[in-house]
Amino acid sequence: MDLRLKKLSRAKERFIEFERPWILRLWITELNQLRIRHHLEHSRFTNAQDAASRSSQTERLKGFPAFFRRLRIEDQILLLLRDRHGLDFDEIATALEQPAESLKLRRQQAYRALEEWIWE
Amino acid sequence: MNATTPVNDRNSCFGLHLRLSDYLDEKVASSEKATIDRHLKDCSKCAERMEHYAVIREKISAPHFGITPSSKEAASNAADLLKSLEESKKRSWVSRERWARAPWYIRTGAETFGVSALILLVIVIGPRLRTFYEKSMERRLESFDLAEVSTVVVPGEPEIGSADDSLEPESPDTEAETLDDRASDWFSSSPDITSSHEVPREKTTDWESLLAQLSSNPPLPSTDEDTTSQLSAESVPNPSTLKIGSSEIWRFYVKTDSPKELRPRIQALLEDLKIAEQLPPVDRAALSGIEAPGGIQFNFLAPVTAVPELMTKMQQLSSTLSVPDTQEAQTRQTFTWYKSKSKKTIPAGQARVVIWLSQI
Repeated sequence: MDLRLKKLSRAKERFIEFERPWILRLWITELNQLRIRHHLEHSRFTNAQDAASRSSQTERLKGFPAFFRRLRIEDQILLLLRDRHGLDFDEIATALEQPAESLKLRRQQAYRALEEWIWE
Repeated sequence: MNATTPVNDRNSCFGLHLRLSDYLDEKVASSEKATIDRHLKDCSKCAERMEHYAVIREKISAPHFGITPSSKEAASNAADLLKSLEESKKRSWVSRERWARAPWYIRTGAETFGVSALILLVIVIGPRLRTFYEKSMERRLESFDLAEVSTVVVPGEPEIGSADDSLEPESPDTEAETLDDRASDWFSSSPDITSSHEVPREKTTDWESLLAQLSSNPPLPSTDEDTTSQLSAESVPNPSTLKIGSSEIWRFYVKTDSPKELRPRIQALLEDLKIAEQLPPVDRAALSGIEAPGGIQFNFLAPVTAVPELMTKMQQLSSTLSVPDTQEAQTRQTFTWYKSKSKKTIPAGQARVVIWLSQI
């Protein structure tokens, strides 16, 4: 392995170790501001209402993204980072500035809410 | 609670929920995992819930899943929006276009008819509205007059409070100039003084006896009764008990067969009371009296303290007057008086006095 690749590898590790939580934190802050500015919650809520009006569970599962958008932004971020991208709770806790154990409970609550909306 | 915290009641559903996140991530100890698995086998509800959670996790981790609305969904929404906009636009323009396409004779006729109907409506409704407004104003004025005029003192004396205000001068400067005209207007509109001053015979008898008593022993002793609002012609006013309110008009009517002869006596009486000294020069002209159809009128502002004395002297003066024998007994009463509230504010400490020498 030449020195240039070694340098790149080290830079990547450093980025993963220090900079990714920082970038995630910026992204979450920006998302929250966007939500306030563009009434994101309202649009999520109306989409979820449309999805909830579907009678069968199969149809509701098809409208899963709408139910997902009905969750709070922080919960959406938590589920995406953990279940979709597989980030550790410690890293998510750094980004969301919350204790990891609290995030675990909130994850469980988000699952519970989605279950109620879809399988109620 | 941390990752190593054991479930307090391993068989309970609550204990499972506490460890759910770690169980989903398979980060629980093997012994604890076995316990939870056993619980899931026993509890169908928790097992079903775990199945649901697995589906949710699968949905979130699916490659096509995104938090933003799908392009298909957004496109259908946009198409619906455009369609509704076009429909509303079409609805608003349909009637206008139809109207524009209509033959000219239909459009012109309809528009002419509409404009004519509008003009007719205005012509018909306008006067009615005006009449309605005038009637309402009259009603308001009537109610206002009734509220303003205070009690008429002499029984049987007509209330002419509304006419009184027409005699109220606009300002001291114009009072002398316009008083004559206004007095003539008032007499042309008011009922006949000679006939309106009729009182019952027995009351007249009392009145004459009281006048005689007054002329012999003036002033009368004071009484404790409140005579402010219910003074009557039968009770002789006592200067010490007579109360005069603010902004009041005091009217003294004297019936005589020769007002011109009585006029200098009234002037002398006013001079004795020194009313002229307390009046501005412009207003002093009213103290000489103004001839009007049917009599002579004195209209002036006098100090409140001078009014009771003036009343007493007027009574004494009228008691000396001779009434022709040809007059009916009911009209023999030569002096009457009453008071009313003025609509216009009279300076504090003053009252408007109107003396009318009526020609019999």
